[in-house]
Amino acid sequence: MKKRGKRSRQVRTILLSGFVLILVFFFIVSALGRGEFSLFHKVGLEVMGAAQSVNTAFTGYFGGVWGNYRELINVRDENRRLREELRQYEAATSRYREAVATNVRLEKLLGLKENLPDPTITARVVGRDPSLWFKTLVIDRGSSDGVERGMPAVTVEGIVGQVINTSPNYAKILLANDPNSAVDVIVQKNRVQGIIKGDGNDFVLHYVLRNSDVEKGDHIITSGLGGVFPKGLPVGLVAEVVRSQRGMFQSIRVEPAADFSQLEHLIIIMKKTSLAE
Amino acid sequence: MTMTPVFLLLGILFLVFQSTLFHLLPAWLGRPDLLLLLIIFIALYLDLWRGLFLTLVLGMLADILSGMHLGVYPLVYLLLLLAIRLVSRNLAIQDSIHQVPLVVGSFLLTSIFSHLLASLLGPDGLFFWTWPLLLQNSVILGVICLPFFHFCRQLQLKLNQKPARSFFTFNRRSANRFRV
Repeated sequence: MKKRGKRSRQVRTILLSGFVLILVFFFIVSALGRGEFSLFHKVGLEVMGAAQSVNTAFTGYFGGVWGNYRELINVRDENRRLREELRQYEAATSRYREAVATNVRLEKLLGLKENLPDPTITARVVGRDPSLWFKTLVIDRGSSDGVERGMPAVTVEGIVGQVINTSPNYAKILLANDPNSAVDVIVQKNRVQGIIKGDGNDFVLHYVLRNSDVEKGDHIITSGLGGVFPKGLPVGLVAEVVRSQRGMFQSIRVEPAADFSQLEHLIIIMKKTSLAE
Repeated sequence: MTMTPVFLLLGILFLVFQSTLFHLLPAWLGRPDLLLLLIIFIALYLDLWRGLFLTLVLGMLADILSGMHLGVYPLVYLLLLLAIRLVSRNLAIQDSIHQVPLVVGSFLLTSIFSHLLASLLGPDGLFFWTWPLLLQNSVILGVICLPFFHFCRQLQLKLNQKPARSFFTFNRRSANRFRV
């Protein structure tokens, strides 16, 4: 009887070890592979995306009611200030309109090829990464809307990230401030090139030579070279420049143009050729 | 039989709440990892095979909503489950007094291990590390773990008491066959 119990325990241990080994094997394969969603993951994203969508709408409604109540306070002063700002912006818009008209005329004169912008689609953020280490989002647009892996996500303020996985109605976005993300950028004023990587909160600009003229407050924009983001999208502002005694490159911290903690709606640029290809 | 789907549903609900509601909470409340608490409960109180199944599925679901590399969460949670079961054979960690250090230790270990995996799989080696957030979350988990386990234990006992559901009801014969 005792022997039997010992044997069953041995079989159990072997089965358990086998199970763990299989899991480790699967983990290595999926980690080294392309990391695309399987059918289980797609169904899972559909189910949980729907639940997130309902929950976000529910909390958004009550958050909106509470927010409206709080914003009523001092609304008159804000209205006055906004009217003044509007007058200033109208004057600025008039000047810009004239500049654009001049630009178009000059482009035609130069015979430049007209670049039609890629089509875009707006998406609502329905979920955020709950972990401490990773920075991802779930949006309510998926492969049935034409969203594909590798498509860039932006806001009016600047770049946000890129699509990494999709299911028919939802997609997962890797934020640009995730350490796994890298974007090819240039400094707007002098076209110095570098690569922006995430550090969890802000960006770090890598591979900018020590003698390059980069200062606090400089605008960083996408270079269009990485094949993901179109050229000229705002990325952020230089917040800190450290030139150490040794090494070829400067250490530059960049404050993101987009506020990653306040993202509610995104614009997905539907590129003609996605990164997955 | 109903226990597995109920705890699976609970895990999905926790994941959805963590990814939608918890970022709205004030900063001092942190983002408590309820799914991790559920995994620890499963490791402590549910039988091995049921625990393995639930841990694997919940880990795969966590992979969908968090991180970039698939397989990190199932691996981390499964190793945690096995470690807790191994420890619980020799120590009386099912006593409530030992559950607080168990939860805090498990949270720190899983955070360190997932950080290590993320760093190994990432393009540039080590990921950013944040002690303040880690300690804040571990304190919060330590505080809420006892009421959480109490709730889950009550749910488990209730589910154990509940008779199996069936569309057809039969008149069961009494176990006393010698009754006149």
